[in-house]
Amino acid sequence: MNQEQALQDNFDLKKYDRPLLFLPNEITLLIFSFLGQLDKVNAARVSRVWCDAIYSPSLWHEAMLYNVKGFKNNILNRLSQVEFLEARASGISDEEVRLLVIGPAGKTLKVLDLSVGPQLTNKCLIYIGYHCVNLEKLFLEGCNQITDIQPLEMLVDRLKTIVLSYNENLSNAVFWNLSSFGDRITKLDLDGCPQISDAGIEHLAAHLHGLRYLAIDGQGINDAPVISIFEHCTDLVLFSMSFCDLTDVFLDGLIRNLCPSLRYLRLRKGAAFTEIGFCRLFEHLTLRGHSFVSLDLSECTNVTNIALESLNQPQLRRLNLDWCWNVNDSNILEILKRSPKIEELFITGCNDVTCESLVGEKIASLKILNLFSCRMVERTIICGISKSNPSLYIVDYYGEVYKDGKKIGLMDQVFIKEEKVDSQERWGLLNVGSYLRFYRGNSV
Amino acid sequence: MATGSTSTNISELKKIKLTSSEGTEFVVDKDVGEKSILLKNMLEDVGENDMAIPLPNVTGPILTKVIEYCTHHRDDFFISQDDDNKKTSDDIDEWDSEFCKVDQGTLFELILAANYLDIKPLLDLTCKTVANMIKGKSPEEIRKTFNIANDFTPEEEIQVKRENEWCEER
Amino acid sequence: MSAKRPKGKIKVPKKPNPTDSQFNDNWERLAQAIREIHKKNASILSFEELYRNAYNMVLHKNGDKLYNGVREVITQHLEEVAQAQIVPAFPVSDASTSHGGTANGASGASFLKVLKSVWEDHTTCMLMIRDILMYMDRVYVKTASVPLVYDLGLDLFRDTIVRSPNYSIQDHLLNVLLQQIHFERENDIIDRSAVKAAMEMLLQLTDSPQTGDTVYAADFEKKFLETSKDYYNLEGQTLVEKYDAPEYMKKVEKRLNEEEQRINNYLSQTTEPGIRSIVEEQLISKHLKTMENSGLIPMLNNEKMDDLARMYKLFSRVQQGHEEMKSAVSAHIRELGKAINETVTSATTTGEGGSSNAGDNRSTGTVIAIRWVQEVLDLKDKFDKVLGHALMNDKSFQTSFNEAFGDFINKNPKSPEFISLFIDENLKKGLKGKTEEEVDNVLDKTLTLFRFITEKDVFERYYKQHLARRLLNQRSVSDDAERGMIGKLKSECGYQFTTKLEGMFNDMRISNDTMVDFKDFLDKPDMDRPRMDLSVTVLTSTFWPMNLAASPRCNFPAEITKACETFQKFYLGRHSGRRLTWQAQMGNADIRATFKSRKHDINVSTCAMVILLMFNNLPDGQNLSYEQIKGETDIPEAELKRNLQSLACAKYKILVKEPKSKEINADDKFLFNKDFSAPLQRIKIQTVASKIETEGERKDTREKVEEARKHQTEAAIVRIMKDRKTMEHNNLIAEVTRQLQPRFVPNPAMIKKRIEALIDREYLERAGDRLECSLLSVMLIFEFRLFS
Repeated sequence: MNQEQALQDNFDLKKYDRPLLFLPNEITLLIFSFLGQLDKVNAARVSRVWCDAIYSPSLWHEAMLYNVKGFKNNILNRLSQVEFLEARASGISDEEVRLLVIGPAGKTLKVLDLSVGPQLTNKCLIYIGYHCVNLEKLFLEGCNQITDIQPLEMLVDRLKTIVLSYNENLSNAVFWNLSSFGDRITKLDLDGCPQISDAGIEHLAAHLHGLRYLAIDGQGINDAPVISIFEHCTDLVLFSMSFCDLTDVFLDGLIRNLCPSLRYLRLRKGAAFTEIGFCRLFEHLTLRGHSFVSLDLSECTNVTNIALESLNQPQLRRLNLDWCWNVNDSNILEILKRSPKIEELFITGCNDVTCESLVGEKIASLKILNLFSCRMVERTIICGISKSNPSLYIVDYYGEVYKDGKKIGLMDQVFIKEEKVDSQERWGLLNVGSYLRFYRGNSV
Repeated sequence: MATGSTSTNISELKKIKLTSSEGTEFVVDKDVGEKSILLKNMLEDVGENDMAIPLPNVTGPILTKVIEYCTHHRDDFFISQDDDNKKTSDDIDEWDSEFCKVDQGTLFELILAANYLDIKPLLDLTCKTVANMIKGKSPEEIRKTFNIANDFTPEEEIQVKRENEWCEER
Repeated sequence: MSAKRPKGKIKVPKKPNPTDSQFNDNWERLAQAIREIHKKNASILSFEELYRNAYNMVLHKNGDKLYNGVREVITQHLEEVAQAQIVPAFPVSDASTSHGGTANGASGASFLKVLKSVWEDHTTCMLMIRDILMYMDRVYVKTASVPLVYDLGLDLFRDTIVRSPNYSIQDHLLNVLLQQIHFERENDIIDRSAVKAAMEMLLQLTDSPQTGDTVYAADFEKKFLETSKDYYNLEGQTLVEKYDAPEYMKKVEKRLNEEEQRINNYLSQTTEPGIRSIVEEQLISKHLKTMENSGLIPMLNNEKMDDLARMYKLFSRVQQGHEEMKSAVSAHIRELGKAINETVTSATTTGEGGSSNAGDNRSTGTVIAIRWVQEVLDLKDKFDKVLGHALMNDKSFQTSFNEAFGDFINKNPKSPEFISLFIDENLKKGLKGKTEEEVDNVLDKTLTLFRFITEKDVFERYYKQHLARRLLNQRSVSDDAERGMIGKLKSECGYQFTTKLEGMFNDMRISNDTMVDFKDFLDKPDMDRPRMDLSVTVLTSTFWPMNLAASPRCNFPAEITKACETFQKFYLGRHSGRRLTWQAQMGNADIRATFKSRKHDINVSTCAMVILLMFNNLPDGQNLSYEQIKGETDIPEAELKRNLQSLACAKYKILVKEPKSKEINADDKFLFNKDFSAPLQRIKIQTVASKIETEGERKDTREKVEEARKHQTEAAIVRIMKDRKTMEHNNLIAEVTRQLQPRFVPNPAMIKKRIEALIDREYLERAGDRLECSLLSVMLIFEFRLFS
């Protein structure tokens, strides 16, 4: 053993003023890999050496593109190994998507979010279809010019999640293309696509049996095709339908074909469902011991106190009864107690609710109580509830948030403490409901 | 020997000897030593003998810290997750964070030792600790923390800023 | 960072920079260590020191030099190994093959063993080298995007040994492997473990990083498949000449199993699809026709289920296999069906031509019908069995068989009548001592034949006639059985199909109730009771098959007319606005006749009763001429002849005819047979009733069916046009055809005619090449509802 050389190799770092500069490059990169995007940008501005290190593509597996300022080689180099790219509302164009995917990033991309890209056209899908051979999830919410998803058929082996929501030009033709995916597609969001009709939904039910997450728009869609979804897609975990034009026939069909995996159910604006229909649904759920984690029946005006008598959902974490104006105080407390894990209760616009019954009650699990537009709820009552639940966020008639008896800001400015969406989850689920509020956390 | 150890595996009872760069000898339980992939491979390839293993790259005080860490985590199952784990530095537990409350020089020596001995969890922990010293700080604050001189010209500073505009919400 | 940066601002630390000589020292020590490892002297080395040497080299950015150095040392070593160990072990040259395969096989196997030991040494060494160079793997390899050192070792082995540019190792290796497999196919025993080791080696080596293929796939597999193709091409030709189909198929099955075993024993699973498709192509696809021609029909005839199942299984492996088999079996079914149809037509023509006896003719007709149905059922049973036992109830085969059955069944124009007759036979009272369950079973089977019929409306018409006869003559086995059958038809064809049949039942039930009430009515004290019991069945004209409005004439004697009037008074009193027409040709009567020796109760048809009553008022010994009877009763000629025949020419001769003969002629005379006697007190005079239709009747039925079809077609056209408002001519025809299919298959010319008729009547009009619906259509719908 050459003692002298060993000592020489082991340079004593304490002697230097700036030890971080002298760590081997591989270690510097490891340190930087723990930084978020904003911290990386700050670190790049520290010094030349740091800037060089920060710009290595291996630190940009995950990236958020906020705009396309200076979108050229510099950015493309840095993104040459990117796997998760969110470019939501970034103004990215077809040409810029092309530049991105024809480069090395095309092969590495697994998740691509191009939502809110009204300037994107069918062309960009051709680029993606040809080059993004490893793409697993694609988000195209609100990309109104995209009408033909045929190029995505090139990705049938990998692509499992497709979000095409809020696209008023999308027609049933989309299902002919989707059917080549067969069982392989697991998450599909078509909320807010008004052109989709019964024929499309029937096609969906006949081919896409592997679906676990499904969101559709309900306009003009009838009971029978939706029931057949439940007959065939037996692995559904989440089902969401806004502008639900359905009737009790559907509720009965749901009872008959209730798949055990269903945890998230959203039937917004189901004004044709009756009180009796809901009673029957809730009773059957209780009878089978089936409990949802999240239930959104907003604007189903026949969800009444009588119907809610039968609601017995021990696993429920989120309940949304916005604008169910036949609900009053008589059994709200009862419902909360039957669901000991309840975290969020939304009753926007329920004008008969006073919340008097909640004063003095301690509801340990509850984190958010949304009473926006509830005319009858007095300030003193909000303070009363706050007193026994100091960590509860309460939204008042005007949309102001109270916590521990104090106003802390307006509804869309307040962040819920200790609540953050980590990237896995952000990429993992569909954007259903009021943004992420509907299912955030506890993904199944 | 940790009293909490429930396993009766014979290899656990074995001791190994290590020599630091100053020539100080350390005796540790074999399972503690094997948290280092270097030592583990060495023992496997060379086989059993009573010779002390020389570690000329590690000083005594640093080796003491390393042994402290490995002893505390002797029963942990280190999963070798390379790239797919979540890259976040928010998940340091209390003991680990206490363990890393040392001066910068020691911290950097620990990093090098962990790298050399190939102890991935310790390397991650120490690097995360450094990352946390960077987080939430402005460039100027970072420079102060690590005593780094700003070697950018004003033009370069503007350019770097421009090159990163796409990363920031504005 | 694109900006140029001026030098000098960073204070370069006084960092001891290892000089080149230090690097060389480090490297020399490592290179020496690797050589020692190759010499199997690893135990003398210090692991930590070597690791640290490599660690420092990488830390000081000399990773590339280290990596390239290692590559050189290993390459050099492998070159030596190739020359010193492998080349001397090359198997005996090709010249010696003529001396016999075994010797060559043995030398090949020993070559494989040498290669195996070289490979094992190399991988062991590479594991040790990898451990020393761990830090290089962790850091340098990642940033430089080069293979890990172990993989580098594999690549070098590939390039210097397996694909050596200097020695013909590759050719020898592949030849030996292919030869060993050939020996095994020829039932020789080979050293599988040596072959397996070589295969595993080839599997661990990658061809190139771009394709990700293994050397196994690139070098061996391709050649293996080529030689296998030649081998099985020859094999197929030899076997086909030597064996018949069942035996041949057994051989093929064996070969398939062998190749599967070979995959499991020493080849890669990735080769499985390739070799399988070669055997399938060479042994099955190529010889499909031969197997079919030489074996299929005998197998079917002798019900060789095992062989059929084997054929099904083998054929399933190739693309056209099942199609071929299906069409061959279906063609066979059509042949057999044609034969059944032919026996029937030949039987009916000889039967009708050869006999003048109407009674006999009719009964043979029924026998033919029943025999036809029974034979078709037997055939169906047989192929159901084949389907279940040999074809795994394959749906596509079933469909194809069904088509074949449908084809030949519909080729027999009488099939609807035959099937209805068959059902009639089974639903008749007290037949053949069958249990209810057995009957039900037979009916279920018959129903499967019914499904094949395209002209369901013709069947319906016959079924109605037969049912009417069963009901009115009280010959039904039971109400439950009848209703059961109707239920079955209903579930086959829908509600509409059976409403009229159910209406007939309803009439029967209501008539029973009516008769109870009628008795009460007669029991009223002021009632002038007729001297006979009258039992009446009231039929709703639209439900029943016979043309009730045009009922045959028959003058009743006064007494009977009176009784009828009483009933009429009773009935119309309850249901005003209805009209009753008496159907003399359908009822029957019990009369007590006094003969010389004794009295008999005779059951006769209504008409026969009217005839017999004429003799009541006649002095003894006086006769009545045919003309007299005809004049008095006004019964239509055919009906009258039938009844006289049954009274004077059949088993019980109540009347005596002059002159005696079997036929009734206009100048015949009839005399009451006072001397008649029979063993039974009660006797029944059967009116010779038609069973199978005569040609005239058939024509009549046909016309009625055609008439009904016209209406249904027009109704369908109007229904569609009302919905669509405007439509292209051809699309309309297609849609009409689709809608009518469940009842019959309309021909396009007929539909066109109906469209023309509707246009003439201004229900439709032309608009260019399209048709348009005019306003009157709504009324037309109404009109058709009444018909359909």
